[in-house]
Amino acid sequence: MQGIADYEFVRPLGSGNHGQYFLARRPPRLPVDVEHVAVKVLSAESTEVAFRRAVRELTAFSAVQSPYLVSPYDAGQQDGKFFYSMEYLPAGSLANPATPPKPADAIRAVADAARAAAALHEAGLVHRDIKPGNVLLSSAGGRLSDLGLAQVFTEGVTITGMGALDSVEYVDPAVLTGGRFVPAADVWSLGVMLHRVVSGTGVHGDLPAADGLLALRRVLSEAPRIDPSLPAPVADLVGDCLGPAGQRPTAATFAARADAFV
Amino acid sequence: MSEPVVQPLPGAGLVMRAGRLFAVCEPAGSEELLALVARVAADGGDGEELTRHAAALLPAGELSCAVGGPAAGGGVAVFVCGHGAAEVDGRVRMSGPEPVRHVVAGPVGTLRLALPGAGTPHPLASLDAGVVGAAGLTIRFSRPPQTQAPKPAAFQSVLLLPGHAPAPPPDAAAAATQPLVEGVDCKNGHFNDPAVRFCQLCGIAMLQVTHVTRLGPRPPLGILLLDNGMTLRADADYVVGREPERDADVAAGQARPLRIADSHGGISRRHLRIRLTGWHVQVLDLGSANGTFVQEPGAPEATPVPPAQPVPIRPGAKVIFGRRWLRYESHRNP
Repeated sequence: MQGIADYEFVRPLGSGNHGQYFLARRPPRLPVDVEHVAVKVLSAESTEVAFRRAVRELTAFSAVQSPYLVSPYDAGQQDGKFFYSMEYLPAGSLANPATPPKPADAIRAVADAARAAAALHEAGLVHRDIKPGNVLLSSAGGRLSDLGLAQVFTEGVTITGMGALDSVEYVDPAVLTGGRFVPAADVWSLGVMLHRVVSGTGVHGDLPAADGLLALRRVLSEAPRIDPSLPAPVADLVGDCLGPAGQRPTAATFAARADAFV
Repeated sequence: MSEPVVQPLPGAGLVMRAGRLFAVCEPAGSEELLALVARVAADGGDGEELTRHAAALLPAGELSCAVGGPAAGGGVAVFVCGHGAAEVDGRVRMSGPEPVRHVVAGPVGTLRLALPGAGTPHPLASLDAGVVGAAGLTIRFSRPPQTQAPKPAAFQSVLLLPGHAPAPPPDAAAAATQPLVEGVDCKNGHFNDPAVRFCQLCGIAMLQVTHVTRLGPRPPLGILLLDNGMTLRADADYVVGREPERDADVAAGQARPLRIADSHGGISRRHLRIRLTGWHVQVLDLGSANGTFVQEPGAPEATPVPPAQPVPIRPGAKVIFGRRWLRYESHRNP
């Protein structure tokens, strides 16, 4: 792929659960003062209905003002492909950093992602796709990007099943078994992400990356296990995030408690 | 793509051309690299493959070199280290000493691989194949004939920046009403199918509960798990097929489309419907050409679904259509 719409791609930045990222030159019509932007092209087929829904979701997302969110610049479609552009952060994500962050910086990035989630929740939105690949690193800490849009393109979907199912590990099992996305599901994801950042493993150990169905079965059939090597306060916070939905901390409380670990 | 035009650049060094793959390097210790280029070329590999191997061969940039070749989509892949340098169309420049591997998106016109001191080539000089003494190469790829100016393809886009973004339109679809079903609350207030003996959420026995049913919004009945790992909430009807949008109920918003890509044939445009009735899930064949089959958990084989007649399915049941399948999974309705 060499570009989409009036975006000229410089190079690919990687692919995620349901799309590909590219580094692109900013087209003159975008009123932002940067040379390069990141463009995500979704793999799902876009239709008029899906396009309107996706734009509505992204508009609501970009209306939330938080220094911890990476907001989209524009969204569009061409030849049945949906795309949106956003700020390019060269330091990469928690899942794929340009240089591995120091442990304290990684925790700070998770706490910042929680602050972003808190701002979304306050606006009545749920992120739906909190995972290390969507926490981008900057010199100031972390920023949450990429609202989950999968359900916009396939109504009712909870996992797209395309590519590696790297996000299964972070999804609240209540969602996997048919529950709706609620703010508490985002908090579950934050807890699992904190666990991974501090211990280096997931709450389901290492899932078979190549076999999505097997990974899904593991997540659904096994209770999450907190690594005993975690420091007690971290283990407590992770445990609270994995508790009953009604008793989980809010994203804002999560951020405040995680700040204490830095 | 037709053959590129390759010219050696005068100076000290060794250059190699093997088909569409190119290398420029200092002579001392270059045997392994040149053998690698020959091997990848013999295997039909492209520039991406060559540079990947070269990066593995020279992890610390042990040899001054620049190698490259075509990449997918008309681009080029380049690897440089040491005193090697590369330039693509005069715009992308790469140099050592640290090893650098880079894929430049196409279309690419000219690739220049060089060591320090490379001169300008004689206009008649060319290299069709093999290894010769030279300090660099220029490789001109033939561009596809530009008969028409690339006209900007139509696209639509919406600015989302603060101050530019349109006000979010009211979300009509979000207010999708959950159908009401008759159910019983367990002692902990979980809404259940009156037919079950234990709460489907907390497992508490339902026997003591006086069976006073009430109407309540139906909770999700579980998930539908597609063979490719996609999962969908079983909280609405789905029309499954190659073009489920054609279904009148989908158009009316009464069922969701589940579009199935079908490369083998055997799946109809509107193949089947997963129907939620009360607390139960049913399969309805929509008059598909090749039929729908259901394999209940533990059953030795799948049985055909009679046309136009809904068949109730239990959790674990596999619904087969063409060469694809989906499974209904739920902690409910054991």
